[in-house]
Amino acid sequence: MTSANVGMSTRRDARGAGREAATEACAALPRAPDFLLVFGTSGYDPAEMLAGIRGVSDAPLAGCSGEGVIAGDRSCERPRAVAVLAVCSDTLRFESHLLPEYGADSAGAGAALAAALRGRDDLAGLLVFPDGLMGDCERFLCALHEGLPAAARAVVVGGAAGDAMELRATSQYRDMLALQGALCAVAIYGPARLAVEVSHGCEPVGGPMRITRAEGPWLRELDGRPALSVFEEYLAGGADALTAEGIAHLGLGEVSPDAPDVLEVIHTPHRFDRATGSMGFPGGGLSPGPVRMVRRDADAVRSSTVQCAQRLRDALGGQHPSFVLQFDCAGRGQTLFGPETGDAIVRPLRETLGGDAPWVGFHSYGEIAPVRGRARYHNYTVALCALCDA
Amino acid sequence: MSADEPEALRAEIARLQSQVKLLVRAEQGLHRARREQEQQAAMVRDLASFSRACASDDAVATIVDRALRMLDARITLDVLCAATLDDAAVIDLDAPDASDSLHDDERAWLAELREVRVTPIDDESLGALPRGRLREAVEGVRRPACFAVIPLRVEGRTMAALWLAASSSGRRTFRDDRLELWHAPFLALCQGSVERALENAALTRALGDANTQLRATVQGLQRAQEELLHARKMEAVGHLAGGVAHEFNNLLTVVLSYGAMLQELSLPEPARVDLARMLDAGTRASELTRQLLTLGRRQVLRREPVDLGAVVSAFVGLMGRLVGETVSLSARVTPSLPSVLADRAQVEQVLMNLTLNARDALPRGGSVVIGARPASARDLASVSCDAAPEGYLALDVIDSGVGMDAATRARIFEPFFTLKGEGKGTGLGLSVVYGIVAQSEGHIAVESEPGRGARFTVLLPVAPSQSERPRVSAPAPAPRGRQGRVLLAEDEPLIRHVTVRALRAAGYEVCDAQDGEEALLRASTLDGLDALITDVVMPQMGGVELSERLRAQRPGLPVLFISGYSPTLLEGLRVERRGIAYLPKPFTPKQLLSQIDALLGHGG
Repeated sequence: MTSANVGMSTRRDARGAGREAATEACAALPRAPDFLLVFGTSGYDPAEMLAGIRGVSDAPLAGCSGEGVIAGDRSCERPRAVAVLAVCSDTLRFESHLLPEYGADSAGAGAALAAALRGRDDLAGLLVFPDGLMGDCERFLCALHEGLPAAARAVVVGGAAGDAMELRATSQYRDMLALQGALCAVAIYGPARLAVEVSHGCEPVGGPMRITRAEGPWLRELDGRPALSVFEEYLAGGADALTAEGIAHLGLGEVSPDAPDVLEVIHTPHRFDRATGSMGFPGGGLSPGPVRMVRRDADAVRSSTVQCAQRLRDALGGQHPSFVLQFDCAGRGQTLFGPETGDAIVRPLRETLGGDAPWVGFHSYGEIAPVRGRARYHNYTVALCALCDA
Repeated sequence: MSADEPEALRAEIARLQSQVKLLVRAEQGLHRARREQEQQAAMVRDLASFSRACASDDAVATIVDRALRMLDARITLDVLCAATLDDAAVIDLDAPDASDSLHDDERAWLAELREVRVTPIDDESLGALPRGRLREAVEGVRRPACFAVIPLRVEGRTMAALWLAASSSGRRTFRDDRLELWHAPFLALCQGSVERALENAALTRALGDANTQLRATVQGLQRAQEELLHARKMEAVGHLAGGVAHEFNNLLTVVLSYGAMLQELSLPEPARVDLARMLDAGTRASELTRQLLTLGRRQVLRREPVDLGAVVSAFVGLMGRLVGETVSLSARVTPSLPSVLADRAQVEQVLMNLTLNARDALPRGGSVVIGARPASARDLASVSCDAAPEGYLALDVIDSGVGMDAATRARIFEPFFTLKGEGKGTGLGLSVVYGIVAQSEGHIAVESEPGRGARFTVLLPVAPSQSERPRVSAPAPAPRGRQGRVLLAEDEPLIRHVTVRALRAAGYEVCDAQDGEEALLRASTLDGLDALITDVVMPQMGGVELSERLRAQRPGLPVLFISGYSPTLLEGLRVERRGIAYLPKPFTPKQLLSQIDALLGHGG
């Protein structure tokens, strides 16, 4: 049986915050935890925060930084916040991996992780937390997918580490180590069932377009025109408005090959090159094909998120999850809902799934979740993952 | 479809797409406006919550700490400090346990600030800051950055200051909550809210102090009023009782005097026995009237320096076996006590009455402790006396008995109040104690709770030093032999008659008058006069005035006052006290003659 509990702290001192969150998380467990999942915001010195957690428990630890953290019904996007999920299980095993080469060689990191995971046939799921400002997550996911046996292509879900919308640096944690430009992964072994649902709540605007030229994370042309010039037509302040404000409003949506009105994966640019007229998309994943310009709509986000939770509940078939993970795009929290983020996109989901399941997550710079059987890198999306004992 | 339709359709699509783009751009502007509105609304809510929370706070540091936490919840800050200028203490939310102080330079600089300052951090702005904690904190923030200083002034004086600093991301974010120049209006509002909270706290403190003082004053007044009422009640009862006793004494004087004269006759049995019983009853009645006069403060006191410790020790030694086998009586005397100015017999009376009262409170045995010690400030405060404690000694009678409730304590000094059954006590014991203490210019207090015994504390004035005591002169020499002419002034006919009879039977020549005026008239017709016997209170002219006027004419004339009133009246005399004596009523002929003999120097 798997038990879990969540703790959170917003203390100004990092060590005290880590200690407080870990204490709360470990307090209600029937025994000492087997594993800790930690998400903290960039206002903390990660070494001090992890030291505070270590002072409470020496269980293996993994996680990353986020633009905000989610714990229970609460969403906090302040620079100083930390959430800890403490898990103990008689049947499941949690194994963490840290890939420092991810930022420089994302594909190589994917292949390396796949190699590390081969040889076990009870892999139930894989949580991945890449650096949200470096690397090419799509290449990493492709390499990982190709390197794992079909039977082992377990559910891959996660979120890209973020900072406080400064787009400066993120952290990935494993035990007492905090790196930048890396990827942290947690493999879950044993009789477990992971159910994942995604939702973005974006609305297409304008007519259909095609990516006519893309190179890795750079989008060069849309319909044969410089991508930046196409975006500028929709930005109130032109390319100079391509700050978090601009990012929060506009993106590109991949059109489903099966349904032209369905947007499968949303991509968000966070930088541009005026000289080449190119738009930079972290996580990559852009390839020639049909796309639509998309805008966010608060009501659509709210309603689609609840529908996502309903689908997850239906997928569980009445089974009560041991814990739920929520990886929610940084552009869907405070930037869209202000201080009511928890009431808009956290509490309704929790209530839909029963209201008392241990709930943890963070506001990410990208979300990893499967689309048509394969893990993809998303933006503007929420990836909900519920773990149940099989 | 015509050849023009595709072109028209494309144009229409292009037009609609332009409109969509316009709408999307407009939406971004609306979103920004809404977010700014929400931020401002949130700031106003924060200020309102802060003001509500600060309403009852007292300490400046508490209000300042709350202000820091409010700002921390609203603005992203790397530095969040404050200082209270009175004690130069620094409050740092990032190091709450550290005790840091302002540098003198920055303390002076902060004291002069009036307005909120929000400034980008650069070399120029840093250079304008004084050396100290503020500058160190701001220097440590990563550039580009912004800092703010908020002075908090109350009644024209800077009491505290907040200083904030934050690095800037260098790019606009939706949160916009890092400290920026545009926060200046909000910080100015914050300054106003905190200053009002500090002012309210100061006013609340002052009001609280005033209320406390007022409450103490009111309580003191109430206590004094209660004591005054009690004293007046006691005085009224005492006057009434004393007045009755005075009249009664006059009648007893007649009864005892005639009874004494009858005793000198050879009466047959059973008349002789009946007469003895009648005189015994009269003597007991005179004892009762003496107690009534005591509580009416009309008895005679002979105040002199008394060694209180010795009195207590002797009393305990004498009474130790008499209080009962189940009651232990002990003394607790502080060594080397000064003397008190009191009537020794009355002090012993007080001890007796209080000890008997304590014994009665120990139906199943227990202990009684009698103590003598210097009075304390607490003793004097308990009786609402402002005098210095050095002027008093305390006499304690402490029992481990059944105790008294508040209702009983309020009445114990009332005459005739008793908790004993009918016929088992007069209820005058503690009233007599009260009268003696009051007449001795002392105080008495009682502490007791049901089941927790009782403690009576009598405060007696310390006797002045030897040189301060008034000299009492020896009586003037009187004629030898029981001969002489005596002038008697007494307005009560029965007393006058029996006194004249007793004096003449003893050999004196007596001239009597019914008041002072008549006595003066009679005296003017006498060539010689050896003594004046006079009542004190008489119509037309009282005994004191009579004695003054006669002694003016006949210096050194011996005077014997016969009365139930206190000799304090005599202290008002502007004459020497030589040759003046006092005989309280009721008296027997024998007592009268004994006083006259002593006054006139006759043997016997």
